[in-house]
Amino acid sequence: MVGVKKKMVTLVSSDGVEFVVEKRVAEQSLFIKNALNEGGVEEKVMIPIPKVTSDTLSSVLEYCEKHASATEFQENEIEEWDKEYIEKADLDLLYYLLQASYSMSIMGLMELGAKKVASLIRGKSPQEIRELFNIKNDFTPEQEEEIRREMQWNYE
Amino acid sequence: MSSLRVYPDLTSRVYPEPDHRRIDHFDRLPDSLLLLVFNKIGDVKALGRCCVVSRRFHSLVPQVEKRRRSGRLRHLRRRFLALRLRLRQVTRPFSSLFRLVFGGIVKPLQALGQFLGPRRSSSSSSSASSLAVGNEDDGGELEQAGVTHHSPPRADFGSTLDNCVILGASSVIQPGPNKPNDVVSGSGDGVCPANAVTDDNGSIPDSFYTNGGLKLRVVWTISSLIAASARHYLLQPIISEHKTLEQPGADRCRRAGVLYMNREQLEELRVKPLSASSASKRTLVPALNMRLWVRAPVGVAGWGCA
Repeated sequence: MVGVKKKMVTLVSSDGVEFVVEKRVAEQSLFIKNALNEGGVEEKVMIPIPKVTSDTLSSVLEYCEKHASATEFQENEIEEWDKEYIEKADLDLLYYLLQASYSMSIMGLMELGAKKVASLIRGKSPQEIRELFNIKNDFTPEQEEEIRREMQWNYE
Repeated sequence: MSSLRVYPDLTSRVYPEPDHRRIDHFDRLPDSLLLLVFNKIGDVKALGRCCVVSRRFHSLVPQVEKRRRSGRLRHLRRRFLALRLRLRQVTRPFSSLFRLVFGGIVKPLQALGQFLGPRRSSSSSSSASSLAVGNEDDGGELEQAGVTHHSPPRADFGSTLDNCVILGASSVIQPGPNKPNDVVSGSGDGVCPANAVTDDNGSIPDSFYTNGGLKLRVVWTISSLIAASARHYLLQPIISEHKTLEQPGADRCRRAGVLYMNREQLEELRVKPLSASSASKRTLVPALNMRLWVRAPVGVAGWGCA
């Protein structure tokens, strides 16, 4: 055993797919880090990740992998990578990434996703925002009109 | 995303058909995550539009506000106040309107000048000259409605009130619209176009003491002093904050009068904090010498009315 340092953990997605990753990669998630500390067992750790599908998890792990070795890169290099990474995620994946980063406590990814969503919201009309994210308009027309007026006072 | 176009009108959106491919991207995200997103928007207008999106957005966005916008707002407000301090001339659309509406009506003129005597020994003529300055600035400030006309005071402040001039008039004669600065001598109310500077106490009619005239002047005086000292109190934090501010000159708004501070008075205020009567949020007005002049009709140039 030469590579003693490389401790591995196994993550199980909600749809039952197993991902074997280095511990330091998995520990990008505070949720997993805490789980590992609590367990205190090193051998053959299996951690179920509920609510996160295999598709999402593989993308999440891609992020974790990069950031686990972030010290090897220049800062702007990792920024570039982040940008590219979040750019290529479509809206559904973005949504799942946000959810996964939240439940797995991966702060960097959460920030990144939030920033991306914010940039999508910026510059759009309320109706465009609804359409983009499939948000139901649960106001009555009168309420909407009232809020629109109130908004003009407060924000314009 | 193309499936979105199938539901163009809003009413069908209220009861959308269940479609597992159409997920509400925010529906299952926790509030804290949504707040994180709103925090990243960083644009007030965009946040405003978010309010209209849905009930949930509407309830969440104001929470971002408090954390995100308050600093910016406070900053803007401070800048606005500082700017207002420097503005001496404020345009008054109402004064011309006033002239237009009341221009033809002639009322008996009975202008009464009230001067609150200076605490520091400035002579009556010096306070009269500051009156003239105040009046020039306050063109068209007389109140339109009611029997009494009460002009804004001019108040000089250091750490506390130094000097205050109040001009009040019980009625106003409007000049013809073509000659706005003429005094129209109307009914036989003892009309003698007089100069406000003339120090003449002899013309107070006896009725002044009996018909509530004196009482009215006292009320004017008190309300003017309250207004002036309250404004001075409010200005104090701004002045101490802006060390470079040298000429607040006049901070005034309609009907509120002129509050004047020169450089020495500003310095005095910065060095010696004001003595506030804590309960009332006003600068304490010191013991005053008051002088009251009552004048028959007075022609005041630059008022926009006689």
